[in-house]
Amino acid sequence: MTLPYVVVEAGPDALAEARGELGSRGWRVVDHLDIGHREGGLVYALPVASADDAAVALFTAIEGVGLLVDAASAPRPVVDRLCDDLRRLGHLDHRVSGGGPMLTAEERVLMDLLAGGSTLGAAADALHLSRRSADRRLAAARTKLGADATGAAIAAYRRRLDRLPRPA
Amino acid sequence: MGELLVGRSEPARALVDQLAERAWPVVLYGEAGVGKTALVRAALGGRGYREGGCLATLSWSPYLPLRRAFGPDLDPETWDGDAEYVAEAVTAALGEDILFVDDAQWADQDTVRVLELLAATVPLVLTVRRGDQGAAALLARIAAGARIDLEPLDGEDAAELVRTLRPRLTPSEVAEVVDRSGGNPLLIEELADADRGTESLHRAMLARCRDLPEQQLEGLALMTLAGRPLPERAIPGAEGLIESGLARSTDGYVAMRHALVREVVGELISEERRIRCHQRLAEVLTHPGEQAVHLQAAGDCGAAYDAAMRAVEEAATTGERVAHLQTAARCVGTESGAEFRLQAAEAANEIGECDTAAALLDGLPDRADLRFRIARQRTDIAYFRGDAEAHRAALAAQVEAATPGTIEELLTLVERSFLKLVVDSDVPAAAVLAEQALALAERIDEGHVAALKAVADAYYLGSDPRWRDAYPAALQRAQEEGDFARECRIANNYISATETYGPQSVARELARTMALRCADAKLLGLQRTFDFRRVNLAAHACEYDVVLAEASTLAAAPTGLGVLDRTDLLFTLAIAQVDLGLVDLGLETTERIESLGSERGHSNYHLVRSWAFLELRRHDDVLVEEKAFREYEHDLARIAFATPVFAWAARETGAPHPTAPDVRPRGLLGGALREVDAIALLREEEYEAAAVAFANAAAAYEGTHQRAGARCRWAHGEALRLAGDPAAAAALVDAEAHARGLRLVHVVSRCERSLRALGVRRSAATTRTDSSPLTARELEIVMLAAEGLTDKAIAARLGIAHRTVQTLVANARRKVGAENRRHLISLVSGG
Repeated sequence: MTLPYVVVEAGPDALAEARGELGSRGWRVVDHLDIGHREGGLVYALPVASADDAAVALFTAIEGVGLLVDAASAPRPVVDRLCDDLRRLGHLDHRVSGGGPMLTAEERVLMDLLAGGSTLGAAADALHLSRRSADRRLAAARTKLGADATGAAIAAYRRRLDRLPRPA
Repeated sequence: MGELLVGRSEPARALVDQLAERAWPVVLYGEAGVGKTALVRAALGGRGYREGGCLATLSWSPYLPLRRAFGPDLDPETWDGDAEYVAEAVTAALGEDILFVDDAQWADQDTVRVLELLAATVPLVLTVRRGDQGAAALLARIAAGARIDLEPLDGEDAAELVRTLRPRLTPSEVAEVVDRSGGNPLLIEELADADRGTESLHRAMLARCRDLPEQQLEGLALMTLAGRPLPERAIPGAEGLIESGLARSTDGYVAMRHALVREVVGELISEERRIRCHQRLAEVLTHPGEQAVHLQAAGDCGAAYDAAMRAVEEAATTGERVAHLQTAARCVGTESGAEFRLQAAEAANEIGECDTAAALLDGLPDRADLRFRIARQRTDIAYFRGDAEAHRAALAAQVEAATPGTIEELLTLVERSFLKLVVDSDVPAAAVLAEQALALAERIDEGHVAALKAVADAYYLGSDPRWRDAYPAALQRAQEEGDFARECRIANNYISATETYGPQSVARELARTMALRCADAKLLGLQRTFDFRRVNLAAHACEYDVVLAEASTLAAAPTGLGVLDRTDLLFTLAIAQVDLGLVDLGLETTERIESLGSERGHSNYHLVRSWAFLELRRHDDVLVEEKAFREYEHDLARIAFATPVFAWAARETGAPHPTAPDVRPRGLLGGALREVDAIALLREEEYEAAAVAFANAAAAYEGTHQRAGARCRWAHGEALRLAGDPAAAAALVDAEAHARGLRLVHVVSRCERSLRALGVRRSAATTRTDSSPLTARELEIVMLAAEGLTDKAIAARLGIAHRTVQTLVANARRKVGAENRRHLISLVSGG
């Protein structure tokens, strides 16, 4: 299984977006790892601010766990070495700056349903929203994704998610 | 051996051979990302091997690569032993397998000791990163049985890898990725990923440069500021840069290997280092033009001016002179620099670099000795930019500044003739002014080439056949006088004349010759103009592969083409896209035309949209576009050329039949006028006469305008069908085959519709893939839907009816049991 190693330098919004995307892709993102608990589909979220933190991250990766690293406050050489190493271990997604407007958690859930084949009406029902609210949410997501039609927005959303591998 | 990698069969074979010959350890040596790991895995595929990679961050962790290689197969207590103990345990656990330690330059000391002990006794493969500080120490301790140096991919293999990763890239885009990556497969992979930014790559590349010794960093800065290869002896630390894979040496000259390095290294160059490097480059480089640029950048304007003027004297081409005059002008004050800047502007206009010329004219003082020349340059610039109002105003200033009875008056007459021709479309007035200029040239024995050109242009645009003699005469006189700038302009117009009236073989040959001559003279802008003409002529011949490849490349070039040519180039590209059924893409291209501004741009924009809407059968929209087109377009020939499109739409909507302008019905235009007449006959239900008229139109288009010719062949068949002529089916089948051969999907659709109306039916392909219940066509449509295309857009892309797409989507949904379109995409594309 290819594991995701996401290193975010772009601040808390980009970090939240990466966490949301990992969730949409089917990964379980956790902030704490129990000893010996290493089931598949797990991504460990941790801040890295020093070489010691980077070492913890790498040992975790070697044990078969994906990573979501907040590297906003790490010294440059530590991030450079960590990224170099993670490139060697698997799929590195290094987010240096925010990649354009970010979807809110609500917009993301809606896009997940639409990308999975739901109609807007069915998605609105599933999310306990009125059709009008779902419409507005979809319009906002479309604007952020730079698409002028729902089909194009779903395609753009899926391209974003395709940056990450899927759990087995 | 496992699956082979692009360009790597030879080193993979060498690795396997060395292992078989027990030349242990085999060391694979190469820069980061060059593909060492992938190569070893591919070469060892199908054999038993244990792999353990070292990591930079964990280079202190005892036995890390060996722990990773053996995992739970060795007792955890093994790692408490000394190196000898671990070496024995590893040997026993390895059995007949091969041990592969990746990135051994980061191995901890304990592991290095074990590797020393194992070196000649077990089959061992090490990869070592070139340029890393730990590499030399490791190789000093562990003697390689065999060393394989892995170089970046050469140009061909690198391009093949790019094409494999991104099959839709144009040749120029492929070349750009190859250049930026320097043939490094990892960089290629990341650069070829359209959805990934390059910031992470930039950081990785910066990290590589930041750790360089001071001397090598200075060498890198020198190469960056020089922007070209430098003699090896002039670059401090050249050997180290070559060793680390950041630079390469050819014939004693060193160049950066990756364009990516050039992109990032600026961040590491301090102001102090920048000045020092420019001073050093002024000493190292021998060409006075280059010396001038670096002296000026280092702040030594006096020395820079002297060097720039030496360069002007030595310049072999006009283009070179522009650059050196610009440098000279930057080195002196506004007043004394005015003459240099004006000379540079004149030279820039001579070679069509109007933006450069305009920038040079900005802020020049208003002096009597410069006034006429400045006004004249502004007239040229306004023309190149397609700005009619500015053109008129600049010419009025030129008339006022010109001295009567001199070359100034002659040049002004020529400019006025030109304005009458291209802006006012008043050809008789233009011819009179041009003939006056020619008479003045005889009287003052000066300015013959300019006057002859003006006369030829007036004859050509007035459809006066004397242009056939006038252009060659003007060309000959320009060549005799060595006036290459005017020779290029004459050739350009001569090409237009033969493009319109034929034979186009003359135009294509002249365009090819002139492009080569411009290349010899290092005049890239003019070369691109003639290249564009070739592309346009290829479009007339429906050679669409040439058009798509070369137009995209030319359009992507940041400099070289003026606004008019760029507008026309995008017009050609958009029409080709529409013809090939890529209507959405064609309409996107028209937006790029519109964004360029200019009247020609607006007229081109509306003409392409008319064409696209005609093919989409949105006839009302065609008529809206026609109105807008006529507001901007004053060139009678272009209006005549466009009229058939409007006539077809008018027939469908019942709008009045448009009248073609009064131009001579020859060549390409002859075809257009005959087609318009034939459409009128069709509307009057004179079908037999229409069939004959369309056949005549097709014949008139032959050799000048293939796509319109193909349309007339269909119309000929359609008229026969309407006349009830039994020859209709054969004519339509012929027309369909002809259009299919030219890849004109919309004409093919027209033929198919007409044939269906005749009762002739052919079935579509129903090929199924092994793994899918969908037909190939259904699968193709679902994949396009997954890209976000609407049914209408898919129909336009594939040149089939909207309704057909809806049917195929419905069939696909039924076959895979999808509840709706999104569910279908999700099921089929696995998204």
